Amino acid sequence: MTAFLDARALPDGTTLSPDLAIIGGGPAGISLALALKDTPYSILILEGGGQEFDPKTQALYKGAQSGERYVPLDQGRLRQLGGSSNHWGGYCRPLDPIDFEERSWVPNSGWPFGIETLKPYFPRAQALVEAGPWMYDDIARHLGAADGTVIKLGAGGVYTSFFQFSKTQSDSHATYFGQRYGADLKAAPRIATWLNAGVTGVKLAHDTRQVAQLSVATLDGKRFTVKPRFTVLAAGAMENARLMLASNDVMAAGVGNQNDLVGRFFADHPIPRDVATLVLFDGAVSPLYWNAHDINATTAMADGTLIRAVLSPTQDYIRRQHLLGSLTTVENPVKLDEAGTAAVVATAQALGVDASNGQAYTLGVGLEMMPDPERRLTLAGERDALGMPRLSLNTTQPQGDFLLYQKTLQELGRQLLASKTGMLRLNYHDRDGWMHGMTAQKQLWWGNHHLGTTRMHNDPKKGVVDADGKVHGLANLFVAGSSVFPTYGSSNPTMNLLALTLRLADHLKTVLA
Amino acid sequence: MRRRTILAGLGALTVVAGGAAWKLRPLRKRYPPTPYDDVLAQLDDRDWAAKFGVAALAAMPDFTPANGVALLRPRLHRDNLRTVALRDAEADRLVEVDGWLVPESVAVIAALAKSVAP
Repeated sequence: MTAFLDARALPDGTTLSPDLAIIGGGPAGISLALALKDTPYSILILEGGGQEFDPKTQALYKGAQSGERYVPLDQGRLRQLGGSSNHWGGYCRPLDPIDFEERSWVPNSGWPFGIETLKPYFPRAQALVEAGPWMYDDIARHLGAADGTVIKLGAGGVYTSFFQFSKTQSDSHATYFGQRYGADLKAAPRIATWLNAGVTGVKLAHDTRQVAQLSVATLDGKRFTVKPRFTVLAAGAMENARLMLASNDVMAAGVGNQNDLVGRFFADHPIPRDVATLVLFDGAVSPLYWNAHDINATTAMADGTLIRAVLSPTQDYIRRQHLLGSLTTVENPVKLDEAGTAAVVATAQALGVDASNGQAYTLGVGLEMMPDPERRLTLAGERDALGMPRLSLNTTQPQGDFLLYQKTLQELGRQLLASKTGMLRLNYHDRDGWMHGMTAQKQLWWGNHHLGTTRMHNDPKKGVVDADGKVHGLANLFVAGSSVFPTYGSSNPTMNLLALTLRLADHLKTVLA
Repeated sequence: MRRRTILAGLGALTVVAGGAAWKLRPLRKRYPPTPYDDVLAQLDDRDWAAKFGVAALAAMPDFTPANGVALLRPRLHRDNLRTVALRDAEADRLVEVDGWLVPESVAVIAALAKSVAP
């Protein structure tokens, strides 16, 4: 077993020459390395942080912002082994087939391939995140009596879907990739994991057709060089873009940025709060809809799996109504005021339903964003302690995205009435409400799911990487992770980006040979 | 049992039941008569409907009792309010009242109840 290596102990000026350098030791980087551990190739992971959180290292992530309020750039991600998995909530759900399609109502949408291409990799991705057996939308079939039932809805465009959670076996937190897979990395004889190794530049060969070397620095002033045959950027959607933009010594626009796409189309999942009030006429909502419900199904395959039910528009409804994806969650019980009570009593009596035990709940949601080239990362003038230009993020959040979601809520309200199950109140009607909520404590959250800054497209004019994750125009530079997602869906990205990473691993086996 | 005894028993039962109903009548709130009582009779509780009607009137600025009844009466002639409200939901005939999504018939009858409330 090999210990992790500390770049601060390397002699200044050292040059390392692996077959493959992976920049970033988060879920994508670790999973990629482990997927290749049985190949004959030497693999170097360059992780900018250490095994633990360190404020000085984390401060390298600070950046500037403009536009909509967004999470400070050093708070929504973690620069340490395991990356942002060290603070993730463990929500897993596969992207839907429609997320891969070019949608006429979503400009710049569509992946170069469909979900069928990723499906073979989902089981291994699911195993990596330790989210239990693959069930998701089949969960309703596996529910036992003790689990409760899904909310009865009339026929229509909204249905109950399910999250599964990393991790399943009575642990208190999700799979932290650095902790969980550290021993596997150490046990792999051809994987060397260098910690505190901040990559500061991707140097192109003079012909601009391939990467010649990587410049690496440590916070204590060491500098060294890596000359890999192939390089994979797996540092997250912010750092991948930062490195490519900052590596502008040979090509002025930066690496892979000949079409001014690197850093553009940044996306996340906005999470507006208390978007609606749900009333169930017969009272309490099933525990399925609360956080991380431990499934009680008697089937052995469901043993210990954590799930949560959510309300999602069907793909057919998205297609017919020209919507974006959304996952609506039941949040907190609330007491109705007299006007709300009057609405419920009047409606229930008209429908002939007893609502004397009715209960109200607030709803939250995670939304898909419309791709927007102006929501982008650029380089700021200030530099960090390693000499790298800091990032500047311009965030946009058009009202139109909210209005599309409102249609889904309206359909949910209709279906509740049509089944005589309950009813819905739409809480927001202007942009200010969506963004800032009803109180200061209810401001819009973000999922910290950084997406889209090195988008994938077969056409170099529309994408930074091709369908294999290879940077257009460069023979030996690839990108892994959700920065390549050209459209986003509403599912949490981790399990999906792992499936994509495992696919990249298969591709690298052929190109490394 | 003789037939006469049975008939006498049924007669007594009818009287008792009728008496109970008569005694309970004062418990059901009475309202001044309106030209719309055939429609309003579909409501179990006009007071709650009228409370909701405040917001319903605000959501339907063009509402008048006459046009509300013109909308509802033909439908309620065929079906009761339960069926009409359910069909509204199924057919996506909804009105947003103070944010609440309700069947059109519910919004209209609530507005009517408020309009004629004393």
